[in-house]
Amino acid sequence: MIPQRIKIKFFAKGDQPVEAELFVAIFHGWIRNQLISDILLIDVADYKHVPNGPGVMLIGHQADYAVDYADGRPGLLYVRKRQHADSFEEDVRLALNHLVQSAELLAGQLDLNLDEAVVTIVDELAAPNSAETFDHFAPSVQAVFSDHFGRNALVERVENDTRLPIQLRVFFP
Amino acid sequence: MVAKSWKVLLQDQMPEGWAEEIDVFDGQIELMKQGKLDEKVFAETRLRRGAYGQRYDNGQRHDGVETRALSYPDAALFKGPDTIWHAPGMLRIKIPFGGVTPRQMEVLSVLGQEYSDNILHVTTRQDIQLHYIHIEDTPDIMRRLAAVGITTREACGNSVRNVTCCPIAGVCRDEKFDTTPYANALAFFLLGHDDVQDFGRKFKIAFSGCSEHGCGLAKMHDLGFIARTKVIDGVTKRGFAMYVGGGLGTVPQQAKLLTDFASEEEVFPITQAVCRIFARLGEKRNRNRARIKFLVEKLGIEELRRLVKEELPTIPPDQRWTGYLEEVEQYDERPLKPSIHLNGQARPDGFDEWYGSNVYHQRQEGYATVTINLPLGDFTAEQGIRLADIARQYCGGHIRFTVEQNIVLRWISEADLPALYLDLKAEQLATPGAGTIVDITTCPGTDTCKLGIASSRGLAGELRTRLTAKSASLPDAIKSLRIKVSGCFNSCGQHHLADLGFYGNSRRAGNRKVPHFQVVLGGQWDDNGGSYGLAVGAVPAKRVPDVLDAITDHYANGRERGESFKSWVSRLGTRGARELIQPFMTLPVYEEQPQFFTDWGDVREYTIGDIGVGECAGEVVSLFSFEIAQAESQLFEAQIALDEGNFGRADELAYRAMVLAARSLVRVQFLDVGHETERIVEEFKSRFVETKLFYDQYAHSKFANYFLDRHKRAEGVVVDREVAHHLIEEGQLFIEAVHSCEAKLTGLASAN
Repeated sequence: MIPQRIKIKFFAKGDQPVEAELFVAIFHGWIRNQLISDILLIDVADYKHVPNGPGVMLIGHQADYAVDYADGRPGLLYVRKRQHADSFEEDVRLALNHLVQSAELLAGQLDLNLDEAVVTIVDELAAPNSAETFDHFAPSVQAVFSDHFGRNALVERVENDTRLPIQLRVFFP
Repeated sequence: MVAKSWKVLLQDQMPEGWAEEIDVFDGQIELMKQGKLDEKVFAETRLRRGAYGQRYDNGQRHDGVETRALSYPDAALFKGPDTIWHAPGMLRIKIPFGGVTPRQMEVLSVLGQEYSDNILHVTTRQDIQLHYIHIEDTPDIMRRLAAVGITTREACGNSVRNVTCCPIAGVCRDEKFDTTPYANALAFFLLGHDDVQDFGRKFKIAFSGCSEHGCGLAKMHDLGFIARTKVIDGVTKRGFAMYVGGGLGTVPQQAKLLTDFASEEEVFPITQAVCRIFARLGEKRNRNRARIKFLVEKLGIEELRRLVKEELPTIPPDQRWTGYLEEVEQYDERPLKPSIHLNGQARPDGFDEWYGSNVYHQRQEGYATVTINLPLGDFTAEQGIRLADIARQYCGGHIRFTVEQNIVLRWISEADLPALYLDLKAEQLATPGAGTIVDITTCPGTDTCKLGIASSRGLAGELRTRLTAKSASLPDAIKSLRIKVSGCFNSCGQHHLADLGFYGNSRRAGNRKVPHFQVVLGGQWDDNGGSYGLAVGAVPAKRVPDVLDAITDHYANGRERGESFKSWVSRLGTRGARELIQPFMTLPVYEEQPQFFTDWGDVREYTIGDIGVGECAGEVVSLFSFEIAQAESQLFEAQIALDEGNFGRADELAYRAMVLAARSLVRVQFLDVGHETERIVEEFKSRFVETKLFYDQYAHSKFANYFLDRHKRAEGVVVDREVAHHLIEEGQLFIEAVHSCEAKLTGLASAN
């Protein structure tokens, strides 16, 4: 089954502050040029005023992007929300491909650490935040990341509030 | 992993009737996708379930260079006139009196994560809005809300919107009595009530515990209640002064006093009488003059009083008119902890400033109500989850949203304030300055609203940043001022009530447009929204911070001792105020100041081309159209049950669809038929069958008999597939016949 939403986030390198303001213009440019193939880009939503919030978002039909500040860790977030692939694994692959594509577009403006990502599976009914959910979805996540980056990814469960969606941390040792 | 559906999981976990309503709406979504429902009817239906459109949902967006089409899939599918099916929308969630429990806060937060952009937005009417929602997700969102007692029903559309109430009702030092249970009871009494289904526009109600403060804003509402007591025969009775016909909008009006005292037993029937008169006599064609304030203006308050008096005896008695008083009696909000004064506890860094602005000492000794100053009314799902915990830990879960787009936690023992402050600070929820000049109220504006002309949130964000940076050095007279910003003249940001109000408009400079804001000064928050500000002139959006500085500097230096801002503005006069802002009104030249040609928070060259057709006015749909659509959805549900092999249920649903259809026809002649099936059948027979109004020249009474035969069918009939299928077919024919009959009646009525 495909969860309601799949989110993947890469984090900004180092401790340098990430100025969300810059991405307002960048994302408007992406919309103007419809830079992401097979995602309809719609609008920019500005939440810079919300601490540890979604920063600047690029709202799309199939997916959203954000220069996101959750937990005080800025990074680039991708949220797959509609027109999912046929399987969870394919959906993660699709999401990762889009995220990496957008990371490349932002090279020089947002330096991302691709050795670590957090995958969030958002579906309280089908994917409650539990060990069982982790066991069910982790192998697919691991396979997709390992395949994409050509090296063995490790996956661990993030210990977070179980009322919130389950999060899987993916990293390369 | 086996996933059930929310529909199955939650169907028995919500108030009676709610599951069925949501299933009907779900069915209407399917019917709309199949092209079997009228666009306008569906638009009004979804609005009455809180599902609103957003900017660009007509599929057009100016990208700074030109207007381009947004290529949604299924571009021929619409959810309303000129509203593309797949375009993101907004869901407005009603929170009567702004009150939520921690569990409700958790659910709201999780929904914000799962279906929206992880942001929950508090509105100027104590609602919560979730943005960028897909229409197909709304039934499940509604189910999950319903399971914790929250509804989106009539959050939008031509009906009674959220009932608001002072956020400190029950703990206020000045109130006559706690109006919370009255606001709550009236909200649920009117929810889905027959007498509020045929309005020409929205209807807003507010409760206030006192006259002198602004918290309830009773005088700017369609119907406002201010708590009163009166000694009658030696007994102190509770009641309300009732005000009618207030409103902001394009032409703000103060409400008129309908009665200076309506007892607790009288308020519900009087409210019902006002609603019936509004439904019957209110304007419906001209949307710009359809609010009740125009009816009050047209009739005059004396005539309205007379009509209410005349209407009251015609209303079928309802035990809920007084039945709710039992709930009022039992309503008792209790603290979690005993009250202990703040005596010598260590005060963390930043505490004193926060304490000075965000803490209200309740009338209950040793307790405080704490305001969480939200930036532009927004908080994240994660913050919501943590707030639920904080509320449980410190105050027994008493949380309310406010019309100033903040959150209050009530019943905090004062000794806990330092610890609470630290816990809030850890979640970035301890921003000081609640209720001060940095605490700016704004509508969504051009961010998401189709009617927005200029970026109210962009401006508010900019002002908030600048004012926060210098708040420590601001004189108290300036700090205490209120700023409110609306994206257009429709006043959703309530700019008329602010000391410094701004609403968006635009001006032409050469062959380009420049975003502007009209400056509105000297509104009165106190006295329940006592008076409205003075519009003095429009300035380019990018000059507003300078205008603000000029006005506040002038006030700080020129005010007389103790003179309020409102009084100072009165003394300054329109001419004086205009002179003050005149230097900032000059239109910019693009080649010299290109930055003026983009709006706050945006990089695109400004245009008004993205303004769409608003849905705040709902759709003008006849009561019959609206109600027969419910019958059609019910029949659709019957078909689904048949497909699933659930023949008994299919039969029952088909029968109910026929009852609804009959009722919708009866209500064309007799609004008060009620919901009892026997009554509906009798009225249908006497009005339409015996008179041969419901009669087909070829089929004669056949279609009526489908319904009447099913109604009198004996118990114990075995319902198999064939029986259920037949009834569904007959139900369809009956509904078609109802449509024909109504069309005939309407034609007859027009001819007469």
